[in-house]
Amino acid sequence: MQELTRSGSRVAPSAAKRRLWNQSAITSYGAAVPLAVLIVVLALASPYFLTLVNIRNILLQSAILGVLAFGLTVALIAEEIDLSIGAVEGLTAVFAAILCIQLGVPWPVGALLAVLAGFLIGYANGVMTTVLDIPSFIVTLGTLGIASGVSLRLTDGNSISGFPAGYVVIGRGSLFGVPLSTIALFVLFLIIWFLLRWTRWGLRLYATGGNAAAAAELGLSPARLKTLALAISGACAGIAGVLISARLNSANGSLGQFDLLDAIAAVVIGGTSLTGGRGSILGTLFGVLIMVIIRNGLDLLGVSPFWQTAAVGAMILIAAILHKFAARLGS
Amino acid sequence: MDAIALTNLSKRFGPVTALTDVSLRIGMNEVVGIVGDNGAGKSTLLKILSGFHQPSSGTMSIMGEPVTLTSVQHARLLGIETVYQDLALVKELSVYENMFLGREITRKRLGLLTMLDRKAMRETCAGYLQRLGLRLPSLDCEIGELSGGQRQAIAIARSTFAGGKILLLDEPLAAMGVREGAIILDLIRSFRARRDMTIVIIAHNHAQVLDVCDRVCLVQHGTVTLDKKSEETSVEELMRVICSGYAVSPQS
Repeated sequence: MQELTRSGSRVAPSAAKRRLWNQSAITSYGAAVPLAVLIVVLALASPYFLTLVNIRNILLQSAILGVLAFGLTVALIAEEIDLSIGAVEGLTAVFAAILCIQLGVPWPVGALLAVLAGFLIGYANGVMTTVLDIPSFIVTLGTLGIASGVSLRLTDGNSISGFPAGYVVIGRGSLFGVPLSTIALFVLFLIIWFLLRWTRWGLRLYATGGNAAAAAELGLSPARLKTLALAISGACAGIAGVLISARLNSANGSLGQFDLLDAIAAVVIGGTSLTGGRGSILGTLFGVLIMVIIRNGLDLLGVSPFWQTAAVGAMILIAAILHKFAARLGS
Repeated sequence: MDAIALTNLSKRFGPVTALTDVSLRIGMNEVVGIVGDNGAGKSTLLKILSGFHQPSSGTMSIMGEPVTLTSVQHARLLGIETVYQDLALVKELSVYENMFLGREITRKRLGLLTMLDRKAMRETCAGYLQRLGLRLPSLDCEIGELSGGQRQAIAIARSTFAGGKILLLDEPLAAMGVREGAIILDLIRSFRARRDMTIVIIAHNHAQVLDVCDRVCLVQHGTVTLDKKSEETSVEELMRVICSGYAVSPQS
């Protein structure tokens, strides 16, 4: 590195000034606006919306979708997609049930092994994507099929119920009135936020997703970064599997099969780009809350579930259009 | 001592001869423009200097030391930095993030966590760009928000900040308007004024090359057919030689 003469140099004020309003700020905070509007509207429309019971409900429902969406955000930042998250969630739930209930493995070990299994499936996705150079869309579509088939076969289409009490606490317990799964979500949020924002790895992940060729030219290893991103996505799916099976106190082969699209919707609403290099875990958190609150609010207002599905679809389109406009505004 | 000395350098790609017997000396901290028509061999010459291609025959010395460059990384270790037209910038990252990508400044927290030191990176970047006289709307803007000229300038600044002593620029002014090009020309002038960087520029615009370079070399059919100090030649002479195809002066 060259010697820098910083002292006594004339200051170029325009360059030194810190600017808060840029593209990544729009990505991170853009979804906060519709979220706030949604909360105000629902608070006015329904007297039940802001009750403690309902807030707790929203937090509980956000936990599992949130964990999945966080992992997916990491994968998308690296310009990869993970379609297997819902199926891996189901498979790891079944895996935990077999370990803890049928094989009598101590529940903390069973839970950890389930998360590890998710990590390994994600790692395998990553290796196939980068080493064999097959698009992650195809690779994870394959593992989606394998994972859901295997979990259905393992359970023969039935449920496995009766987890040890300690395991169930993960999904149902709370600390000072806050559900443990919400606390888990918050801790995971902090870890991933720190990784993305404050580590070398995070910066290089954005670089890889934005311009893999440039990253390689600078001596980074895009393949390794992408592999780890998909492994993190798998591990998050494993955590979601533990949370859902603990909350239900059972597992079956079809758990999680509808969660993939909700997670994609939440991530997109949160401003993460499907073309890589742009995304924020805070935005995803807002996106998750928007998804859960829309469903919850429409329930409270007595809207038919059919319309709810349509409303979620409309929300994705509106979010995509708003982000497009915000991006134009920002540049 | 010469920064770069090429002696009887040739490069063949199978049956095609791209360079024949090129001998060229570039002095320390000299700014040299390589001009020539498309397909004349100037890009091949630059790629040999950057370590991307290996010459078929002939020898090369860098800073007085005979070397055989084996790769771009090898050249980089010797202080040769190349800025290609694709620039290798990440448009989603900010200016300072791009400057430090791959060699980030970090600090230890609690003895365990190695954190990015964004403040230090930002300040170092601001100081360096200021020293180069580069002005940007903000260090926090993403590369994608900058103009073509500003991006090129950032790519050049990153290369020189990396500790390069020899800077190779591949068509830095291509597809750029007058105002955009001026940013790059000013940057090259500021290096030239400080005399702390050897720069080799490939360009098409002869007037701009004569304006910012100490010397200009014309490459035709794989050989250097004209090599003069900028003030001793002119756009007219260059055009005449290119159109006639005759060598006017031998190696000076």
